[in-house]
Amino acid sequence: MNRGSKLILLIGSSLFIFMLASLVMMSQALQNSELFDRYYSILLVLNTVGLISLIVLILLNVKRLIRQFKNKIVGSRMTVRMVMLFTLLSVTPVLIVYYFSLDFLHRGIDSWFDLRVEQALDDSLELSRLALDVRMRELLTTTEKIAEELNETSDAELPFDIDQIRERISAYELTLLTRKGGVIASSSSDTKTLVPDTPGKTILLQLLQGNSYIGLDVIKNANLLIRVVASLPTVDINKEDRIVQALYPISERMNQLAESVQSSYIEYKELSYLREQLKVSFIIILTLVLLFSMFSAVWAAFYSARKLSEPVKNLAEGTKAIAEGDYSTRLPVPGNDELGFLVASFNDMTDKISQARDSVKRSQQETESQRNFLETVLSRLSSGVIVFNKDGTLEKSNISANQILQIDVETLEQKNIATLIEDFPNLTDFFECISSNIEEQLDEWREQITLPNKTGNLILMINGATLIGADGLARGYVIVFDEITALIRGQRDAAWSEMARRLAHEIKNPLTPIQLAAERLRHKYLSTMNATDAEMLDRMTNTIIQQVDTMKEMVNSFSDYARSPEFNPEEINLEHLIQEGRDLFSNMNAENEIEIEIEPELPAIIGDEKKLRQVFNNLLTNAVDANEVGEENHLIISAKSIIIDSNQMVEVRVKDNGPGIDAQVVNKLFEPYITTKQKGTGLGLAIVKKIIDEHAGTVWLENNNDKNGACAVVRLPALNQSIQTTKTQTV
Amino acid sequence: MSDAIKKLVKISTLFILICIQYPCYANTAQINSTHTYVENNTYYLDAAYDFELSEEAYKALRHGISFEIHAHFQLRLKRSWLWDKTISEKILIFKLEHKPLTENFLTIDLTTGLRHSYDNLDAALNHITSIFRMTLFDQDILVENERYIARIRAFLDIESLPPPMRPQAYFSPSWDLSSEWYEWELVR
Repeated sequence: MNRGSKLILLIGSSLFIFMLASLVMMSQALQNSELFDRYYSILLVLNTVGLISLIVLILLNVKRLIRQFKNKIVGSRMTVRMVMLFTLLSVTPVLIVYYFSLDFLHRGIDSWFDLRVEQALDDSLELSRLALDVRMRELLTTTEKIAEELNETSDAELPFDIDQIRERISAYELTLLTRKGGVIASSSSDTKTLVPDTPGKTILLQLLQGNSYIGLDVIKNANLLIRVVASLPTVDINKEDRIVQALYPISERMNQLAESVQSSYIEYKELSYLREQLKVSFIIILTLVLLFSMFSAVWAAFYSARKLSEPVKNLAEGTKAIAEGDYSTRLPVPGNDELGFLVASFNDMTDKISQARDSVKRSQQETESQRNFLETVLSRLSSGVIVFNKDGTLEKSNISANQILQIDVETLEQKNIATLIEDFPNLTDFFECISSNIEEQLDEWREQITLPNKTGNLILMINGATLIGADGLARGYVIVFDEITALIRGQRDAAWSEMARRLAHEIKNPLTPIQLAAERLRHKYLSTMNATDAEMLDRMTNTIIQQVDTMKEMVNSFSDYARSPEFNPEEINLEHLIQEGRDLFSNMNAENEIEIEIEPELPAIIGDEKKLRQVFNNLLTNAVDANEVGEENHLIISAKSIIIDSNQMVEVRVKDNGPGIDAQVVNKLFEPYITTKQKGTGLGLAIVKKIIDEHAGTVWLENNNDKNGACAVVRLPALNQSIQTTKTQTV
Repeated sequence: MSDAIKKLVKISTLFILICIQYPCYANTAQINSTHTYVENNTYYLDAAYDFELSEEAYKALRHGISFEIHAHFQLRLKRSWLWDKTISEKILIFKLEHKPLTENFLTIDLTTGLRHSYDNLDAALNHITSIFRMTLFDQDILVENERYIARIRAFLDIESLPPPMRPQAYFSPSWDLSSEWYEWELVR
């Protein structure tokens, strides 16, 4: 329980105790309790104030509850229901009791009063009077006799005689007075009394009218006395008229009885008079008790409802907080009851959820870390990696996949493999290979495919594996592929180089002795033979020598291909090399029309001038040889600067006007010993490819768009780019 | 403020005004004369006032309800800047009862305990309302050159009535039996 609740409970309890005590005191005051009688009015006011305080307290609670209800505060609806229920349960029986109490109150008070009782009291009072009346008449006679006796007594004897007379008639007090009330002589049985009790003006007036007075009276000691006043007979005209007053005591018993009758009569009359006021007072107290009980019950209902709904409200807010992701919520445990157990269980649950959340968070962090690690590895991996889900939808790829396939694979994510086959015809073989292997449901597979490419065939080695989920079922497929074009070509080049080197070595060595032997045969026997034999020998030796020369040339070509001379890089202006080539081939044959289109300020490149010269010579040779002998050659050599993937390159194109190249061989012509020419060795373009590769460039053949001739395209890194490339490689 | 609250405030204000106004209607007691005099360095008071019981009060008396009638005297020092200061006060209380057996009206001086019985109410009230030689205060408490106001009023003490009667008596003009303050100046 917090401090606010304790304070409210303390105030409420204090008010309750105060009002209860106040109502008890009021009730006591109504029953003539001397202790509380004097505080009755204050108690009434205090009770009213207390009641108003309770009403204000309840109104404040109602206002607060209405505000909470309107604002849809958690727990307000429950509090409203509980307050209504508690109020109904507590107020209903109180109202019923109140109704019947009012009825009993009216009946009860009315039953106190009865006409017969009233009559009896009147009669008893009358009886008391009558009982005294006989005695009073006797005493009147006695007093009148005493008056006559006193009339005959001289004034000098009066002080002595009056005592005797009083004692003789057993009077309490005997006084002789003037008509105006002046005391002449007096005698009293009470020695302490100095001043006699004199009759009132009314009595004196009555005597003036000639009537004696007799009546009951009460003087100092509160006992009843019979007062008898009679006039003395007038004898002497000169003498002032006198009166005598005698106070006779009544017997103790009669006094008690008379007092008892009188007090009972007064009490009854008082009650009779106060009947309605008593009813009103009791109704006021009863109503105060009712209102006090009702408002106390309502206030207690508010307090209890709030206390009961508080844990539920806390639980609702706690649940809401958890739903919003706040697992740090801890609720105060209200007690050892079921609600307390529920709240404690909620706290335990929150702890466990928090721990589970932390565990999940750690797992997520680990997973994220592993994913980042994997992505880093994948991004740095030279192999292309793509992942398909079990439905064949592309889910993931790495950068190398983009580079190898030369498309942005990331944009293809969430696309199905069938769609990819349709959308990318140049990658059809690649995706069909994957699709067919996925359909076969192979756990692991490996396949090599060749994709046609602008710069030649792209050879890919594809490895596939099925990803098995925790349930043991396939949840996807991972495809890892490498571009092995360079590797294959390297292996092939190495093999060809080795073969060329061995061929040159094995063939070239015996060729010279053969040629020398043939020349010696001719020189020795030609002059000794007859003309017919000489002619035959001459023809045969010439054939041997020419064929050996041819073989020597072929072997030299093999040797050139196989040989890897030292690479001497230097800054080269390609325009100069192109001009040289144009001049060489123009001079060789006047029918060769060679046109040059070179971009002004063509960037320089870094390369081996001799080797690049050989490249252009080979390309121009092929271009010239493209046409049949006797046909006019129209060649166009163009050079310009281009940007490829943010890299500046110099592109040189050598176009001919020949028949073009068969599409089936266009990508194979750079392989050794592949040629479309009858006299070609098949090494010219292979050497070109080798040199361009050494310069980090690319070369390919393509047919012209107008289907008139073919075009050899060479791309070499520009000077600045070469330096950067070199630096990058160094780093 | 809502209409209901405004209505409640209006009714409460009206009720309070009615309560305040009630004492202005009835004035059944009135101080007629006062006379203060000094004897042996002591101030004494003779006073006479009228005190008339209402019909309702007379009926209650006849039904055995006893009353306490107060004569309340105050001596107050007049001050310029502050409210007057009461420096002496005396209360003379008479109890008035009706005795059905003798049909007399009994007056009891609650200060001295002296009882007097009268066969009619007027005589009893006459006894109560005639103040003779009431001892007030020593002359020494009066300071020279200061202004003093002596005042007296008479009233029926509602708190002396039985508790059931009091709530009604406080709000009923029949029971508002009190006089205004009767003031006169005293100078040493």
